[in-house]
Amino acid sequence: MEQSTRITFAQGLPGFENLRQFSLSHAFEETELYYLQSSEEPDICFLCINPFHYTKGYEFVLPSTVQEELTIKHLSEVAVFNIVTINGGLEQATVNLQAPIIINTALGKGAQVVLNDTVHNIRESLKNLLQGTVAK
Amino acid sequence: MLILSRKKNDSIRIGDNITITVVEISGDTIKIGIDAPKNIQIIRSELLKAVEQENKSAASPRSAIFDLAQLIKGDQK
Repeated sequence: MEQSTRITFAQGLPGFENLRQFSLSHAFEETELYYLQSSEEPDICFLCINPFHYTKGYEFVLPSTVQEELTIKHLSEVAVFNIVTINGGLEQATVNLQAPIIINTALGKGAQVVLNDTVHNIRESLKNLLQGTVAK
Repeated sequence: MLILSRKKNDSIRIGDNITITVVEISGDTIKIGIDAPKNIQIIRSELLKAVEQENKSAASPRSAIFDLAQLIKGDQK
């Protein structure tokens, strides 16, 4: 991913429906951590993580509504991130696996998808994810 | 809000192409079937609320997030 990529969330994010423009940037080269920064609200930023870099235990089916909304034609143009909630520190931090951020990297279009599957944890321990111990 | 009484196997049609059917009733739980076009997104309301709440907890100024990112980076080494 380039230094900073502009992403348009046509429907905003749940709880932030009015925010449509974000920029995505790599936090550090050697990690798969990213900042999803609102272009409209300087104080709104999300720490995001590329889950597949850390675990093979995370899988979901991309709903066709999202494929359509983001005009996704090939898997190669899809990037997936999960939002990290800090909760005060590394030990307490959690990752939202229930609602991944899906991005069409070719078109710069994004959406946060609320999966209906009940197997995913909305507050999975970040430590578990980093250690690759997220259960399937 | 429009409120309708329905029995098991009764259904409701919304617009031209959405049908909601009461499939099963058991105590205070009902199973409903939803027939809708593929482009209609269906999400359990409490799940959407939970995600809204989680997003609000997660949103922070970048400077606050940076500290955790540093810790994660350190932890990975």
